[in-house]
Amino acid sequence: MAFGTVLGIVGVPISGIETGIASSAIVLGLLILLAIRLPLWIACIIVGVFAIFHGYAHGTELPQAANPLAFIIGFVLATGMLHLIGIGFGLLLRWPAGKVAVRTLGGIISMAGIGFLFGIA
Amino acid sequence: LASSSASPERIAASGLLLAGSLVPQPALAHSSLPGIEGFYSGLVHPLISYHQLLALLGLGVMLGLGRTAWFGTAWLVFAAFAIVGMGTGLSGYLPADETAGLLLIGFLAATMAAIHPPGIFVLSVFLSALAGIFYGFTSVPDSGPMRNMIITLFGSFVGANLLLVYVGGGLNWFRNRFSGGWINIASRIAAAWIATISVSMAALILSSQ
Repeated sequence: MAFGTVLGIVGVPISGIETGIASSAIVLGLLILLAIRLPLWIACIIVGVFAIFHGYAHGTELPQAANPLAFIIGFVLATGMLHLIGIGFGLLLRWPAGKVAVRTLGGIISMAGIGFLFGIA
Repeated sequence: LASSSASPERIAASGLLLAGSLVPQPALAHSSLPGIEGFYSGLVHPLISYHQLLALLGLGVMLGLGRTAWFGTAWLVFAAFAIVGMGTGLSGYLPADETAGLLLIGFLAATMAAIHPPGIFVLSVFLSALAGIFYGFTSVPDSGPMRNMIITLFGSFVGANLLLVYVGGGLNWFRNRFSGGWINIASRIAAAWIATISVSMAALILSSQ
């Protein structure tokens, strides 16, 4: 995400940023819905590539921010907190009902991504 | 230091005690003692100057996650090179982008902390030296009588070293005192955040020139 943010700040042209962000929700949501456990290195690559799109979007907004430092701290902390929420929700996998809940949420995330991609959401 | 009682843990604990006895002053809204405004201004400078704070936090977490025996060496190297940087800055030489440079050094140190590869003693010392010299560059006051500038720089030197002891020594002490991987995980996550903020601000500074 840091790499993507720097690309956005310095203005390196990358097309399809919004598509990439929407695709990240679709792909990651589907992986959760289908309970696919990828090898760690493949998961890292997928997350890393999608993180570039997310970081880039923040980076392009940053130079216009009234207080860039506060903006950066805000999006870094917000991203971290969202990860923490996701990790916390993932702890539900210990229970059978929790597995259903987590997979259902994966489906909802994927559907939200589709909605975002086609301008419905 | 050579005696058995002066173990790295005891040195770190003593440093923390010293820091705790000195640092509460910055929590006050103004200088408690008239006449030390310059020193006080320098002392709190690493706390209110974001590029110095980020670099010292990144370096501190990197050193705190390293071996205890490394901390003292890296800290001394930082202190020595900070004096070199301050002296060089006072003599009139300052690089064009010292703020971005310090941010990038903080980014490298925080990235090393986040990745946490084994056996990076030489790299730790090298980054401590770079951080020290650029900290010195960025601490030099813009103008004023030489005596006042030196007093302010001395305060800045003390402030940086106290912050490094707080972060690096404190983290090292925590890791030695408490078991469990959560300290390492939390520190590495914090380091990744520091790295992201540092490199983003450095990119913003460099791209706006």
